[in-house]
Amino acid sequence: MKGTLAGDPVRYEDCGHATTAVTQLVAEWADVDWFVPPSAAAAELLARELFQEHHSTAHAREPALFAPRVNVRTGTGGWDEFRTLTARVSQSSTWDWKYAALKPLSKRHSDACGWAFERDAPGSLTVRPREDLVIWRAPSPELNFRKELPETEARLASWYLSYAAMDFLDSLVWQLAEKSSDRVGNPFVPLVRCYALGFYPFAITREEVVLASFRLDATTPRA
Amino acid sequence: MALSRSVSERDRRILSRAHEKLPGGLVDWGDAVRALNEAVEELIPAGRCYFLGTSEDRPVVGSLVSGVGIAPGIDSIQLVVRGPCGSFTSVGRLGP
Repeated sequence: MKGTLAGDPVRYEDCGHATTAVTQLVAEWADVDWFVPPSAAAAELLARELFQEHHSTAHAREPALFAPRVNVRTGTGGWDEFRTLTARVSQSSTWDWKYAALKPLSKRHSDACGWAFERDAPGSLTVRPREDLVIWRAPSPELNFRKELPETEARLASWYLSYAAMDFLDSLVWQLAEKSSDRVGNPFVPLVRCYALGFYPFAITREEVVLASFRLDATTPRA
Repeated sequence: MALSRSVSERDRRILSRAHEKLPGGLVDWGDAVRALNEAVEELIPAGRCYFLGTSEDRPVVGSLVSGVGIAPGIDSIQLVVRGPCGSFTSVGRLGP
C-alpha cells in the first residue's frame, strides 16, 4: 500500500544545510510500500544489518538508554502474528517501545546540538496556529487502509504507521539539528529503511527486537 | 468534558490537563492549541503535538500516535479521532 503526500509538493529549501537530506528522506518515506511482503530475497539480511546499525549508533550516542547488544530476530507471518506483536509492545507496563529510548535519544541530541524546535524548526515542516505557536506538520502519505484491509487489520496498520511516522520525523529532526545533509551517524535513518524493506521492528524489551514481515500469502485484501 | 470511549486513558489525562489550563467561557483556538501542547509536554517525555490534517476544512492538532486531536468549532473546541481510513470523527468537545 502506497500513499501520496498530502497537498502541493513542498520544497524544503528553508532547511538550510539539511535541505538535501530532508528532501531525500521525505521522498523515500513517501515511496514506502506498506504491509506487503519484502520484495527482495536479500532484504532480510539487509534489514538485520540496518537494525543493528541503528542500534549500535544509538547505543554509542546514549549508552544509558540502549542495551550494549540487542537480540534481533525476524518473524514472518500474517496479520494474526502482527496483532500478537502489537499487543506485546502496547501492553507492557515496564517498557515503552518508543518513549523509553527513541524519543529521549532524539530530544537529547537536539538539546546537545543547541537545536530548539520553537526557534529553529523550518516553516516547510511546521504550521503556526498563531504567531506565538508553532506545531509540527510531519510529511505523511495519505493512506486509506480501509480500502485495502478489513477493519481490524486496517486499525492495526494505522496504529503501527503512526508510531513509524514518529521515527521518520525524528530522522528529519536529527538532520536539522546537525545542520547537515550527511546522513551517516543518524540512527533513525537505518531504522526507517527497515520499513522500506518490508520489515517492521517491534522492540519487545530493551534487549529484544522482532523484525516482522509479511508472508507472500498473508496479505488480506478487502472482500 | 464529554469524551468518547475511543479516547485512551493516556489521551484522557492529556485532554483533562489541557482543559485545566484553559480559561472559562469561549475558548480561543490558539489558546486551546497552546494548552494541549503544554499538557503533552508535561505528561509525555519529549512529547509534542502535531498538525494532523484537516477535518471539514478545520485544522486538527493532536497526537500522531493515537490520532486524537482538537479542531476549532463554531462555539467550542471539538475533539476528533482519525480513523484507519484517514478521516476524522468527532468524539466530543474540549472545554465548557
